[in-house]
Amino acid sequence: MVSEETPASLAGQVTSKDPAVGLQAVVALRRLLEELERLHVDNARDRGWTWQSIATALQISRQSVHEKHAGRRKATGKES
Amino acid sequence: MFEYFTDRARQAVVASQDEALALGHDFIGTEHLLLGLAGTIDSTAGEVLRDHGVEVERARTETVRLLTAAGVVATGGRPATDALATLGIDVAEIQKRADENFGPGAFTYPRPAYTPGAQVVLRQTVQEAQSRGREHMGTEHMLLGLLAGGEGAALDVLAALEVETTALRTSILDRIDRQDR
Repeated sequence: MVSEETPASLAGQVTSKDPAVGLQAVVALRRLLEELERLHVDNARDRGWTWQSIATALQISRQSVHEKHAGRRKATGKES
Repeated sequence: MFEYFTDRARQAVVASQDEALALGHDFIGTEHLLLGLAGTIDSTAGEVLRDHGVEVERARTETVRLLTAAGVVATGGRPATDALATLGIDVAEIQKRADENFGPGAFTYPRPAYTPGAQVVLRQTVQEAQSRGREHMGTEHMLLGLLAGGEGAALDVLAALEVETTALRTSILDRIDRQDR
């Protein structure tokens, strides 16, 4: 389905005036962003990065990144 | 929050997500939490459920039947993937490269999210443990949390399996009592 679409039709969907279409795309993107953050935070921690260095790279506070990911990593046995 | 769950309870939570993914549901609802508990057979909740005739295969069949009847479609996350395709993002390609670089399972899109009902159950799980002076949440607290709400797809599944929820609750409380003794 994607391969049949021209760049012009893609741009049309991205900027669709139908709120349902536009908002659905925003949610889908947010979920991708969250998944990529999780993936790369895990990779950084596995490579020995400190929470502070991850926070600096993500341009958020150490507390935010720790709150969001530390518990999950503990719960899944990825760190103690 | 999950860091305060016991190993068995974590196992049940992971099993819930696996159930949702396997059934092609882009959400983790109370029904998936029930399946996760029933599937964690060597846990307190798993044993109590089995004693009441809730086996994971039967519960899964009922779940699919009820959700299908309610018009819930097993999309396998297709709408989210399609929405990204309209933005020119190829999820299959990201998946392939992530699997190559980080191993299978590191990247899951779309990762099913907890429904509001399931979030309530998880909060009630914490309350059930804390009100009994427990620091850690076990599968028994998850099952009590599931029953505490009084509504939700999980309770519909239990009703379809003709499980008496009051008796189920009593059985869990008995088990907790015996553990405490």
